[in-house]
Amino acid sequence: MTRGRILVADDETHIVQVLALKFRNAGHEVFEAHDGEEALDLARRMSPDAIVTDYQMPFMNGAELAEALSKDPALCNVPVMILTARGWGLDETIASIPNIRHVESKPFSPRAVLTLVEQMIDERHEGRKAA
Amino acid sequence: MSRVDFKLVATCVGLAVFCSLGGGLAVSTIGTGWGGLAVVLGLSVTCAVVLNLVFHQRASSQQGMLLDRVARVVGDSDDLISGGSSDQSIESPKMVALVSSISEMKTRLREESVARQVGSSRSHEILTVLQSLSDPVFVFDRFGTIRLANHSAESMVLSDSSLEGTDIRSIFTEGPLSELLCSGISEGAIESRAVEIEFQVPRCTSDDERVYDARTFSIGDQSVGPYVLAMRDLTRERQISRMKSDFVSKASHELRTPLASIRGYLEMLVDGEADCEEVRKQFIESMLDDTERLSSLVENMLNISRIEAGIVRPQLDRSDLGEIARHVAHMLEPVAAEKDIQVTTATAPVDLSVEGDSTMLHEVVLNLATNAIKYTPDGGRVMISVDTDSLERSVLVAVTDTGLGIPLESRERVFEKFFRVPSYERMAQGTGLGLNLCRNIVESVHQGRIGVDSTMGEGSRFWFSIPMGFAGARAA
Repeated sequence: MTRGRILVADDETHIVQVLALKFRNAGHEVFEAHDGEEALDLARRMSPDAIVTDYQMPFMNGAELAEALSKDPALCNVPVMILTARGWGLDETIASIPNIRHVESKPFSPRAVLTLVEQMIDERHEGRKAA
Repeated sequence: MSRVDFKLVATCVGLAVFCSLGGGLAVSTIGTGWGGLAVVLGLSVTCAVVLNLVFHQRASSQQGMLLDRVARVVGDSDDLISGGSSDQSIESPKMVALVSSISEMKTRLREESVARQVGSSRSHEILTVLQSLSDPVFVFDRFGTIRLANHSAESMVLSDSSLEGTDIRSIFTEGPLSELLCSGISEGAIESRAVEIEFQVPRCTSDDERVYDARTFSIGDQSVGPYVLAMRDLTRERQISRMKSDFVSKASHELRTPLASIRGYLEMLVDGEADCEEVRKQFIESMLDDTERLSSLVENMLNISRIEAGIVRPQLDRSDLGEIARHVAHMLEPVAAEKDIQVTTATAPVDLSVEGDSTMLHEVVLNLATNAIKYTPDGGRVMISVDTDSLERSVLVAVTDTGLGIPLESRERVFEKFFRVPSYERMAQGTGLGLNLCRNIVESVHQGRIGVDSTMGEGSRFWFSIPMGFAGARAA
């Protein structure tokens, strides 16, 4: 399994703390952001292999962040996972954003999230090799 | 010939014979010649005149009786056929038939008049009901010309004058209803159908777009009409539905977020991800925070719901808002000290009591002061001031901070459920319900007022006022 660079974005510090520790313990490098704008800035500077972001964040929500990344030629292929505590209403919003690979509802299992993120990283690396 | 006519003729004949005999006797007495002839002629003329007078009088008398009978039949008299006439000369079958026909005609006219009155009264009732409907109703003919539009229909299109004579297609110019009307009118038959339309009120901004359920149906023959377009305004219903959905979605978000943290920490502990005692302790403390947050959220939601549903029973008593302010400031000293924030009180040296629920009012002051500390940068100041407003006969409490200030576009919304000023979300956690609860306690329970003044970069001043003595406190 490829060790990757993962960006975690959530305005809830506890969620960031849990996920960051889970990913680090699995051997990944983790960058932490607490709102959408900070996440976009970090993504541009750090070029992560995968992004896990909350949907509802100050300044820029998770879908807006993914859309901004999809329009950036350097980051458009970075897979994004959205975490949401909203009951419904995300499907239409995210349907047209190509880089969103998964949407997970809160409360989530850190174990399950780690598995999905590692799959996204592997697929990305395989895609790169094939290219 | 009737008996009356026979008598009349017999009398006339008798008179003529009498005149002839008289004439013959006179001729024989006077002798022949021109003189006798003159006498005979004179007698004949006299006889004719007398006969004419007799016949004329008789005819006039019968005509008068007939007219009298007809007048009585046509009039209000209940004596329709027999009429109570003593004269047998007009009791002929023809006369009886005539009177009977007139009587029937009169009965028919009476019935028709009653039917017309009932119909007119019914039309008036239906028209009144139609005009009083809050939903728009249009009645139009097969050419699309409006024959009737109630007041709601006129209000819907903001028409100052009657819509009668207007082409209905000129009002609904797009969407499914327009298509239904246009095709129906051109094809000569309007379908009975229900469609949902969004209607832009003429001459207004896009904010005035309303949603209607529109139904068309024919009153008579489907190809002839007239047709009815009955509409129901769904705008408010949709707004409420959206608000409910929005509330559930936001409540879900606020409940799931701390749950996600707790679940994450627990799974990490189970999986042995926390490799030292210090991390484990930190996980447990974080879970306690989230549990507290959940508890507070549920408590606030229940309190707001209880107030909104009118099932709160406030314990009304004399509440000294000055004392409440001092107590809250004392309570919050340790929390404020962590951020090096100074909390002070300024209470006017007068009676600051109101008639209210002390526990609830304490909750309001505590919420406002806690928020002020939360959102004021380290080293700032928070002041709770209490004074009377003699003009309004109320006590005014204000919590002033030296925080960041609230952007203008957020000021109106800070008292909404689950609204959080975007730039504040990173500064501190909150349920987004505290200020809404304050508004409910102040306005719904105590009939007071609440508001906020703010200057960006200088700070905010949240205030509320409670009437000193009021009879309107809701005890429901």
